[in-house]
Amino acid sequence: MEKIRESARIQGMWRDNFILYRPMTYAKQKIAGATVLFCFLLLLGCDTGQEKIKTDCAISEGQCIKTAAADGTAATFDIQPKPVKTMTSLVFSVDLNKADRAVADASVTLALTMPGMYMGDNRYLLKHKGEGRYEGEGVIVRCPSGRKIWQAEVTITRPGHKSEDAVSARYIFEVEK
Amino acid sequence: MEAGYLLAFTTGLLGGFGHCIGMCGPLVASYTLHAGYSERTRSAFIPHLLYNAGRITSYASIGSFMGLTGTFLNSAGRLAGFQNSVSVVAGMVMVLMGLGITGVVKGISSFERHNSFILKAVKAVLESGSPWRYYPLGLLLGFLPCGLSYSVFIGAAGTGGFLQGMYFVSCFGIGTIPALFSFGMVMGYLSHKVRGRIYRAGGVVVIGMGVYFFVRGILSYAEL
Repeated sequence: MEKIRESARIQGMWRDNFILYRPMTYAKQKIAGATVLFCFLLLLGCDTGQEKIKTDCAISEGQCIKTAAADGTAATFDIQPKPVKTMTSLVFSVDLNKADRAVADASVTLALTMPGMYMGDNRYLLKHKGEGRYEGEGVIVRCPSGRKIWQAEVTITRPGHKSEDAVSARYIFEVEK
Repeated sequence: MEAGYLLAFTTGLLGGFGHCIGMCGPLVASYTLHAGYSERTRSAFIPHLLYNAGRITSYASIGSFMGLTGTFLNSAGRLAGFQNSVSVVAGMVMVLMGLGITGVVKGISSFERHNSFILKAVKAVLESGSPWRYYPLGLLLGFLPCGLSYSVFIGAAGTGGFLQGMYFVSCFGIGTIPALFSFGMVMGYLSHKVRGRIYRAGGVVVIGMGVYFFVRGILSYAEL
């Protein structure tokens, strides 16, 4: 028992009541460490944490159209330039149409979030550029852990309506790094 | 502008529990396990206070830089190479910590024949008896690339001022303290309670996370 305690003390693993635990031999420690390291290296290429999230908008290939369910307003979402990359200056645009007429009097905000990871408040107020087109400039930040799927929520508020009556459309898309 | 500072603080508070613990928890666990546990409560939380102070100092410096330049993208581009290097160094430091925790390596002294400046600096941080060594550790690791902090830096660039940018990001950093500080204290308490193989297994996990940070930094550097 004295030899075990002495061995533990030399290896810097001395703790109170350590005598109750049998220290691993030096060789076993190396094997255990190498095994776990190997497993971690295998895992490095796996599981960015978003594999179960499905995108519904191929934003790097073109525009995405959705209907805001509450009042039937069609919202066409686009990002330029393409392909859509992180950490670059981007132009976000939303075209609003209702019953084949451009909606020119709405207040439109765009909120960017990352499903499964809180990335702060990325919210843009889009300005009306004419004929129902609303635009704004911004950046999609890079996630160093490798996640590339983002969600854009377009919230549309019409004049004379309360904020709780706002309608929204969501787009889930993948960006390039 | 006061609403903006409050928003930054709230972002840190929410992000601390929802983002920071997941992403930077391994770093906190690394230095906590490496530091061991002290019976004296006061000395138990000093490393965490100093680490977080160092981290916020880094954030504030980046925020002031962003506010001064008024642009996020140009500034972030200049910082990208440095941040990736920090990720590589952080990974190496974590691996060394993990090797020390598992007992595989007795200490930096094992590499004493490679008597470089970097090793001397790492040795001073990892093996110095002073709790103040956690401040430069936090200072370094505060520069790690992080998507959540990028979002805050965009806001700092929008303030358009050196002091405003610094204050904005500092509010964010202070908001993250409750989560990381409490996580560190819990890890310190648990490290005192667990013994033997479980403690060494924690060291092995630290080594693995160090490898992850190292590889991530190398891959990000290759993309530049």
